[in-house]
Amino acid sequence: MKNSQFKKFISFFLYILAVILLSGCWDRIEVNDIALVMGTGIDYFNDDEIELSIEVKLPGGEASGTGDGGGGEQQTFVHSATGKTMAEALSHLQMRFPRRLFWGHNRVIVINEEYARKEGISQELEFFSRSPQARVRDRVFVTNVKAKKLLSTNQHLETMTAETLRELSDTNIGIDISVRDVLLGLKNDENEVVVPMITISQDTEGSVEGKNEVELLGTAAFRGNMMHDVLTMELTRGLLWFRNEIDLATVTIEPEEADGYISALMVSANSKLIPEIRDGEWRITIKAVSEDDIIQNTTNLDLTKMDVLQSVEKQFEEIILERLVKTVDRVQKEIKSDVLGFNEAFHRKYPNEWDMHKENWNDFFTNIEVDYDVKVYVRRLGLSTGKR
Amino acid sequence: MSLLNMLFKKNKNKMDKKDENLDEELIQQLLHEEDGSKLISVDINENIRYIKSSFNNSSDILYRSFSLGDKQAAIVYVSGLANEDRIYENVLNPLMKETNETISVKQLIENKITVSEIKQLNTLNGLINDLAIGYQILLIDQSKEAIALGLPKWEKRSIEEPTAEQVVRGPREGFTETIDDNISLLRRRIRSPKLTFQSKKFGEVTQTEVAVAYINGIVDKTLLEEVNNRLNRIKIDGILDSSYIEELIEDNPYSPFPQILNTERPDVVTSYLLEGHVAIIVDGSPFVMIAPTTMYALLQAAEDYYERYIIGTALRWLRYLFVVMALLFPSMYVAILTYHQEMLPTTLIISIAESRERVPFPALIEALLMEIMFEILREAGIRLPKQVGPAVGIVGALVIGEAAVQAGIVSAPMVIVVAVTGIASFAIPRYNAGISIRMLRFPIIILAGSIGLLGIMLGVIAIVIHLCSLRSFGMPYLGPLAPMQFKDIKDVLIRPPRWKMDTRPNLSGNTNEERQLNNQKPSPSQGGS
Repeated sequence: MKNSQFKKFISFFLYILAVILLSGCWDRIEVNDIALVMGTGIDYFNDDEIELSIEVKLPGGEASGTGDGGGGEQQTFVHSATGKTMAEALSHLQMRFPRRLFWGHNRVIVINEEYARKEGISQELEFFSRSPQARVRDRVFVTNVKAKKLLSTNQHLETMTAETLRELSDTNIGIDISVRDVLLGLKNDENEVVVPMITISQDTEGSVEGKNEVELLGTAAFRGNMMHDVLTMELTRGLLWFRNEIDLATVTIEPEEADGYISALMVSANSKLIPEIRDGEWRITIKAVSEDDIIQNTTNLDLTKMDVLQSVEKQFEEIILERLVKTVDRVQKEIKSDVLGFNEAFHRKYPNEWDMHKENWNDFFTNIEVDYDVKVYVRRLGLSTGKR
Repeated sequence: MSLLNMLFKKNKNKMDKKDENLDEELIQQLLHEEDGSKLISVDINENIRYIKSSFNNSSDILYRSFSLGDKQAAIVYVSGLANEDRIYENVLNPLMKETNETISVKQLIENKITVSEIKQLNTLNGLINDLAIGYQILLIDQSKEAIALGLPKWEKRSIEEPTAEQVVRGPREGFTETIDDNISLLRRRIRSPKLTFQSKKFGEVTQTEVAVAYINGIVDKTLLEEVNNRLNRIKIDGILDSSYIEELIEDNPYSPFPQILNTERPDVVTSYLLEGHVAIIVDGSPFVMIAPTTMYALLQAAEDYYERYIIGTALRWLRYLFVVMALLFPSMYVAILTYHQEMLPTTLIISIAESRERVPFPALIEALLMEIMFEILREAGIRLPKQVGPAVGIVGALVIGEAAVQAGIVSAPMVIVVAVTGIASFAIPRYNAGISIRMLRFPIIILAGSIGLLGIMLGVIAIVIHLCSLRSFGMPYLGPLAPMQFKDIKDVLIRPPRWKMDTRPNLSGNTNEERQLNNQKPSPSQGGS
């Protein structure tokens, strides 16, 4: 009785052992057999081929520096290969690497502007949605220089360009777009895709030799799959209002009542799109509410007085309003691609009416009237406010 | 499979042989008993001859002849087990001064011998047994009865602080090897007539005293019956420690988990007795067994109940975390590093990859190497003489830690993982529970190295299934969580405040549920200012 139990135990154990030992560690990859891809760049090579660049982490603890890198703190190097598709270029790249390229830690995908305008982005980004390693959380950028060149730059603060770009994206000064956002935007009928646009900073005064910062240039607006136009940084701020992503902002006014300037820091900001169809007329209201702190006041205005404060608030509102109007004008009159999110707002509230116009929405939405409801509350005046 | 069969056949043969041996012993014993059941002879010399032959003239049996009136008398005792001062004072002194020649054994007991533990004997078998246990035997010529005197004295360890379960706050007494002392330690804590000890001798040769302790009126009668049934099955030549009995009465002998709680602390035994458990005390072992037990009881320390309950709860949760860490941390590390590199934050995987750059082994081998190294160090640390002990620490810290990393044999993160795992497993208060969890970690590391996180999940599922099926004296091992007992769960998830522990656990103490008066939470309305 007891013997048979023991027998059962032993045979079960042997079965398990066989399963483990026979399968072995067949798909095992050690961390020192993989090359960590940190950033990916896609460039236009010729009509048929793309150039795929990758920024790869150097394995050693001490970095040997990339090329003529001055400080030598850069811990990555960039390599590229060409191919008809992303996958082909990738296999060409893999031929030159003794280690398996590992996409699980890819941070950013940088696409050359020329490529985005000519070929669109969906066919290459699709690769990232299929690969089991790659993450759809990767940030997407468009650059007006060669992507490979951008990835090859050395920054002062971060040790890799990919990390720099990710951090830059996280600051929410420009828009923050991941592969997932782009793919969703391309897939559904609603909003058009916007992607932040970056470039290599031309201002090298004060930099360490061989180092170059990356800066935000604005926003690339897409129409369908193709890149269509560029919004400047100022208009990007306006765009953030419509997307309710505004986070870190300073607003400066020159008050009518006195000489000098007053600057305010936005502590919290919220915006909302309210669509409305009345008597066949399509209107949308952008409601933007923000709470501000005064951070600089070079005038002699006494903000503790209610009427002064209200007047100042009003002028802040005008500044913001002006920015919003500019953005809407540019988008409706020149870009003609609905990156503002009107589409989604109407789709939600008036699905039936929206259905009639969804085919030619980008033409239709330019006629939608926009109402502005901007409110600014100055909550904290600061101690130094007062007479001078 | 043929190999397996051969293995089992061999085993079977061995067992058969053992059975035969046992039979022979039994037969001899039976013969011996028949011989020994004869009555004490009236001739004192014949009795002495019989004792001498029974003990094969063993040199530690002492015979002191003297005359009781005109009769010859002798006192026989084992030299190391008797209090010779008191034999002189309370037995020899009054008897040698006795002049009444016709005094009977009964009169002697009633009037002369000033010893409290005393009994009359009339069979030689009983005489031999009592002598072996440590009684002193008084033989009188012309008398068919002998007297057994209880004047024991032997070398023993004094009561010390338990070394395996120390507390900062709480009683510091620990059990010793002497069963009488252990019983007195318990009796001193529970001064109630309901505290009962049932003593019995186990071990055909060693005649070890084993006592079953319980509190009448709280203990579950069926549990007590079960404990006695299992104890009565034991036929063994000797018992050197309570673990001998533990292995013979536990529910699942193949399980790596201890199903009976061991403790050196009288206060722990007391608390379990008060909850309706049964304690088994074995002479010669400072470890008292408590049955039944649960997984969670093994993770509780005595101090949980002596510290403030908030601290106790926090410590308890830390300990649950430690169990998971001791079991899974190295295997997680191996699995993530060999199969799921995308699971770590980028900066962490970069620094780990950098440190692994020079390491020649795969993560699995590295982990096994370090874990085995750690176990060797731990084992050596316990076994070594105390004077050499610190050397192990130095060797461990220097060689395994610094030098191995610098030499590029292992990576620094692996050393951290192994160290953290080791510390976590030491934080499990019961050594036997800690070590079983520590040993289970090896198969899980291999599983993790073979099929990654999937393997870890398989391993954990197998362990949980096993734990769910495990019983300790019929009580579910994972109780009160599985099966769920809402009322008792409070003592698992938190350490409830004393004023909330109104009822005894349902599983063991269901015959007498009420532990204390309800609603004793201190507050102004309860009196006091």
